[in-house]
Formats: sequence, C-alpha cells, structure tokens
Amino acid sequence: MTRLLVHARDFRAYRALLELHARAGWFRLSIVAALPVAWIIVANLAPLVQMAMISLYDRYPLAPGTEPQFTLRHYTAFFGRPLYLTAFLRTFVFGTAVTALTLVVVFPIAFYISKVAAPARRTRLLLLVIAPFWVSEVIRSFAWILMLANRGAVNSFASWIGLPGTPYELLYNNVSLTIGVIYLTSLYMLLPLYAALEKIDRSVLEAASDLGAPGWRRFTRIVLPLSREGVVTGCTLVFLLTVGLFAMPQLLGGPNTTMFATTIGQVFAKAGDSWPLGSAFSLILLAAALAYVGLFMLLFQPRRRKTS
Amino acid sequence: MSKTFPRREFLKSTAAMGAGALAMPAFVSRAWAASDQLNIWAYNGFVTEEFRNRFEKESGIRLNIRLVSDQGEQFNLLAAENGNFSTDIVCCAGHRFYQFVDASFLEPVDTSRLSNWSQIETEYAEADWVSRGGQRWGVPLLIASMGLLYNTETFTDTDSWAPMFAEENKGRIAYQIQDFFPIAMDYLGFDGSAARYRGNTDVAQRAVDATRDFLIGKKPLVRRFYDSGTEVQQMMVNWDIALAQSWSGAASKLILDGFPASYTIPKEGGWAFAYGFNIVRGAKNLDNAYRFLDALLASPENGAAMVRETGYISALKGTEALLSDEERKVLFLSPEHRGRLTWVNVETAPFIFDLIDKAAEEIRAA
Repeated sequence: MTRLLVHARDFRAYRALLELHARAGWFRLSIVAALPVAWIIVANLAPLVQMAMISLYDRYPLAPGTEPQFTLRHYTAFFGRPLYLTAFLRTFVFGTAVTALTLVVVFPIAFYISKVAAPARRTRLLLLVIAPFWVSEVIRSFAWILMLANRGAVNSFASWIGLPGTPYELLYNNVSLTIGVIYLTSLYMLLPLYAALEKIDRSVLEAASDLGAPGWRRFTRIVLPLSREGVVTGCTLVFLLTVGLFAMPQLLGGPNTTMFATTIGQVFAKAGDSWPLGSAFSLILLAAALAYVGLFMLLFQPRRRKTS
Repeated sequence: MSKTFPRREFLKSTAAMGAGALAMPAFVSRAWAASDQLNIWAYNGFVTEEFRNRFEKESGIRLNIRLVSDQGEQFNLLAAENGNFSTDIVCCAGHRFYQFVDASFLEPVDTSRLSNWSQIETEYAEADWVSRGGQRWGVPLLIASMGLLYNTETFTDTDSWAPMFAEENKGRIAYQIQDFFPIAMDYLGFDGSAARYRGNTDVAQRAVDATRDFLIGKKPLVRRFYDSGTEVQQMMVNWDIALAQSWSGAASKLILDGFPASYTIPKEGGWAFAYGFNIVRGAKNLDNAYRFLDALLASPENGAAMVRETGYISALKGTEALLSDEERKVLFLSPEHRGRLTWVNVETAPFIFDLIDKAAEEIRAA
C-alpha cells in the first residue's frame, strides 16, 4: 500500500489532489463530512423518500406482474374520514399536555441537580435519574402495568390503608398513559434543561436575592428567561417523541386513548396492500408535527442578539 | 500503557469490514438455503422444545424458528421480501390463508410427499380452509374457537354475549376488534360470515357500518382492545377485566393454570378456525420442509404436546386419548357448544374481512 502511494506521487493529478487537500479547507471539510452526510441520506432521507413514493401508489405491496398506479386518494382518505381526524387531534392535544406536564415535573429536578446539589454529587444524581433508561421501553411499560393493575402495587396499598372505592381504574386509560409517557420522555427534557440551568451564573441569583427579590421573582425574571433555550429544546424533543409513540400507548393505553401512530401501526400491521395509506398518514403526521414544533420554536425560541 | 491503532491496520480492517458487508447478502442467502437448515415462522408453542430437539437429533436438520405474533406480521414480512423469502414455512390461520395464496406467497402442498398425511382427522384434512383452486395449501395442526371467557368469581354461568354490551359491566370487558366483529354482527342479527351478502357489497357494507357504529357506541364499556392471547390472560390474572371474547387456547391455558374462569360458546354462536403450517413459494429448503411436516404428523404425542403448549385442540388423530381427564374437560367443548360454532367461510372471508379490517381501524381511532 505504501509503495503504491509512493508511486502515485509520480502522477501530476495525484500531486494536484494532495496540493488541494493541503490548501483548501472546504476540501478537507467535505472529506470529513462525507460519511455523516452519506449516513443521513441513506438512513434518514432514503426511507422517507421511499415512503413518500409508496404513499402515492394505489396499492402496495404489488401483486406479481403488476405496475403501480399513482393516486392521491390515500391523502384525501385522511380528510374524508372524521374518525381518523379524531385520533390525529387527540395525539396533538395529548402531546401538548404531556410535554407541559413533563416540563413541570422535570424542571425542579433539573434545577436541584444543577444549582442546589453539591457539584461533586451532580454526576451521581444524573446517573441515578438516567439509570431507568438503560431498560427498554417495553419492560418499563410492563413495570407500570404491575404497579397500576387492579391487583397491582398501588391498588393493593390503597386497599391496605383502607381507602374507599378500591380498586381504582388506573390502567388502560389516560392516567396510566400519561404517567408512562412522562416517565419515558423525562430524560429528553432533563438533559437540555440541566445544560441550560447549569450555565446560569450563581452570582446573578445571589445578587437578586441580596437585592430582596423573592424566590418566585428570581425564578420568573432570571431562571426561566435564562433557561429558555433548554425549555424549548426539551419541549421539542418530548413533543416529537410523544406524537410518534407506538408501543407504550399499545401497552398502557385504553380504547379511548388511541394515538395516531397506533392507527398508522394498525394499518401497516394488517395483512393486505394498505401500505400506501399508512405511508400517507405517516407523512401527514410528520409534516403536522414539524409545523407545530416550528411554530412553537418561532414563538418561544430566544432570538440571538447580533454582536457588532 | 496506551495501545495505538496504526492507520494501516485501521485501513485494512475497514476494507475487510466493507468487503464483509458487501458480501453479507450472499452469506445470508446461502444460510437460508443451507441443506441442513429449515427456516420456520411460527407462533409460540407450535414447535415444542421436545419435538425440536428430537427432530434435529434424528434428521440432522437445524430448525431456525422465528416467533411471530399474527398473520399481518407474516404477510408484511413476506411482502417486504418480494419473492426472495427468508423462510421455508409460515403459520397461517385457516380464515386468512387465502390472502397468502392470492398474493402468491405459498406453494401447494404435495400430500404424496407426506406419508403421515392420513394421521390428520379426515374432517380437517378435507376442509375447505386448506383448499383453494383445487389444491391443498397447508397442513392443518390446531383447531381454535372464539368464545366468551369470564371470571367465575364475578359472574355466574352465562350463556349469551349480552353481558359484553351491558352497562353494569363497564370497565370489565375486553376484546380483539377484528375477531369480535363477526360475533357482534351475528349478535345484532347480521351475518358475520357474510354468506348472505355474497356479491352484494352495499348490503354487506351497511351491515358492517351498523355494527361499527354499535361498537363505537359501546366503546366506553370496554377496558381494553387487546391483540394477543397473553394480554387477555394477563388482564384476567390482574383482575382488570372479568369478561372477554377470547381464543380457546388462551382461555384453556388460564383455566388449566387454576384461575377461576370459564369458557363457553354463547347461544348466539361463536367461530372456529384452524392453524396450520404452509410452505412458502420457492422454499429454499423444500425437502427439509416436507421431512419436518411429515415428522410432525407422525405421532399423536406431537399433537398432545402442542395442545399442552398452546391450549388449542389438535388436528391429529389419537391426541385426545393422550390427555388427562382435566385437560379433556377444559379443552373439549360439549356437542351442544360445538354445534354453536360456525367455521369461517373461506369464500366470503376475503370480501368481509376487507370491510371489517377498515371498520376496526375506525373503531380504534374513534
């Protein structure tokens, strides 16, 4: 190989290439970026393009010896059947509510770890919070089933301490699904929040305190504005994850909590040629979720000030 | 001491890995077609561990079993493989196998290559749910019914589907939508088999729409729409539900495990269907597939073992005699209840299931 490279120097074109490599930053950059860009194209964009194509076929998988016909009917089916729209709207309402709840639940935890806990303990505390995420989503869902079932831990405890009206219906409804999803997505809220809160200078908070600002004012005037970037990133991640959830709504949800992703999953799981319908629905969900998040970011993402 | 990884080694390794990745399809394809292998997609318990070990030892053929959860999963996997199938045998339900046949996924079964074909109960060997277009497309193995499973500590004996729609049972009911749909159609006075609607799509669509609207109206009573037998067992054990439409296998296993439950075919009727093994078109290990199927049919002991694993009734002759009294009592229906079962109509199934599948999506989404 080395000998080959030495001989290659005899060629003018190869020498020119080496010269370009040495001088042009963009050339080095494109070499470095080639693999990640290729990966994004192959792993992220190619399936989307394939799905967009399938969504325009009249049927798929195709029977042997048949050619696809192109149609938009799978997109119009979404608007033609109000029942699909119900699941679609439910998904967005649920996603928004869960995102807000996750923020409310996780913010104090992130604040405690980043600002209250001793620096030496922060890594351990973060590890403690992250530890449940080493277990898969499905197993954690089953753990919640054991907790919330009619004869599960929560109902057994409620019954043992003599609460009236037990067992409570905690499973297969919005209660179980909300608990499960917050548990599932909290990490994606925690890390951006922690990163944003950690950057806040402690002396700013101390100065506000010395000047007599009460806790709630320090929170609304300093902590919240300075952590806005983390809030927006966390909310975006949690919302996008929630609208796309499939397994957890299947396991913890009930008849009235069907999410649009579950509907799409059912369309694909059916034995038949209904992949175009599922693909069209997937793209509608993707486009709507991105538009929703885009609007959210437009409204809440802090503007970067120009430095001149 | 730090260990460095020389650039040359890195380049060599990368090149080797790249070449390996490029050659992978060839290796995988060869593995599918290896002469001492057989690739099977099956439900849990359909190939028992004892049979598998014995067969592998005696034949020298290694069984590569992929567990599947439903018909749709198998259909979509085969569709995605587009004729270059990675399996030799799939496991179709009798009322859905037409979809696999019509999609050209299956190979007709040459019964002359199965010396033990006669070991199958004649009633099942000749059934229309293994035949289509004058050819047999599968080897029937297990017979299932769909009936009512209920907790006997909560309910006294019931002989009707009516409790599944009663307000007082709100939050204690579960069913699998697609399978319960024909039962609900029958309950409402329509024809769940669609035999009456043959060739009359409008009438069938109206019956399906009316049933769909009825089930959407009753949706607040339902605790959960489930998908697999283990889910209904788990909900029963946790006392989350007390009533369910259930497959006989899940119900029998629960009762044999000692849970206070009973399984019945209500007077409005229930449904019966069969599971079998089917050979895929162009199976790469065709001879091994026939050897496997013939070995499976060879002894009623195999049938009894499958019954114990799955809770379904075997299609093999002589299996019943090998079961205990308790197993027979739980697994076998009385003649009266058997008489209430309707076999899924293979001719009308494609037509009615298309409508039901769509209605089921809408019920779930509503």
